[in-house]
Amino acid sequence: MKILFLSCFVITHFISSAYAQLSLKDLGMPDTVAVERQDPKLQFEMKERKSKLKTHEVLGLTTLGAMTATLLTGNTALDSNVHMYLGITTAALYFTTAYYSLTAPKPSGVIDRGRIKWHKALAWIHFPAMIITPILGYMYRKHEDEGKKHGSLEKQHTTFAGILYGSFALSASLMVIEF
Amino acid sequence: MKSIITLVLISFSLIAYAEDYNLVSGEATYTVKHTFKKVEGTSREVKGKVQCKEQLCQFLLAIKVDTFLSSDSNRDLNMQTTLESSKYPVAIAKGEFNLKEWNQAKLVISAEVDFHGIKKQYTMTLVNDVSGMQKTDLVLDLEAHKIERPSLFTMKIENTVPVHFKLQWKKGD
Repeated sequence: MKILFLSCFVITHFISSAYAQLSLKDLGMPDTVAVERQDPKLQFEMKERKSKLKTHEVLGLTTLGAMTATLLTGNTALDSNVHMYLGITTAALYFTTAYYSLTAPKPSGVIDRGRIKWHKALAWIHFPAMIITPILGYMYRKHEDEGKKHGSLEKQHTTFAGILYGSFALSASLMVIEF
Repeated sequence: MKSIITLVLISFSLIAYAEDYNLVSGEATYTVKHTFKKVEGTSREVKGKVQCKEQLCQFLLAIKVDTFLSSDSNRDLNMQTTLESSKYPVAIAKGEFNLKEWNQAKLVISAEVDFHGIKKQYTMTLVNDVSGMQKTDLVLDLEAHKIERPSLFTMKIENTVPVHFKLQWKKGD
């Protein structure tokens, strides 16, 4: 009788295991993967990252618009303050944009790949240019107002502004246009 | 004693009737469309199994969301954030079909897709090509899975995302 029961158990086990519903375990994945991976800290970081980078994107495009306007008013820089105020606005927007990018959490172990690498690399050009350009502009305007002779470096304000605009526009277009 | 032997034989004959197919190689490519761009991401880590009982087969396909790679790592992270991969790490498709249809050139199956924690029924057409590769397209409905569509310049990506599968199966364990 015991043998019969044992046989029935073995048979039932074989049949049920052979025809059971397929599960993630059959694919070598833990069935509880969804539960195990629920990491509130990681979820919070990912949400914060998404929010900050969205702000970075919107502010970046606004900065590009303000920078374009600053560039277009360059010829009137000595006649009115519009170019100067636009320049100050651009700088404020630029550094706010940078703040949102630099403080966005990034999951560990992620290696930059593709266009984001170029987007970040271009910051090594437009970031120093964004610092130098307004300083040179200020020096040029100050010497002009004081009737003093312009230094060779402050004469390069336009060149630095061109480098800034070119690298910043390229950096932005890398993220929005599929090349 | 006779009855025991009979039961054992029956059980083994039933088990012998079972037929399994395992995925040797699997690839899934999604295509996201936006007014200004079209983006593709591929996962080469598709897991799958087909288990047949007599004439009825059940299949299971699973992909870890974070194994999809596009040409840009930042975009991949954004995709994982949008799909809440830390909460719903695996996308699963499962269903049933008739064994007779398995080797036909075309096989239309109904699959239940568990994606972003929401289950939805889809119809897939599997095409067997001469090389033994099985190909199919699954057109995902993002809003049906309660996925907040990302936007660029205030324009959202298209709601439907086709996922193209390339599957190669091997009989047995």
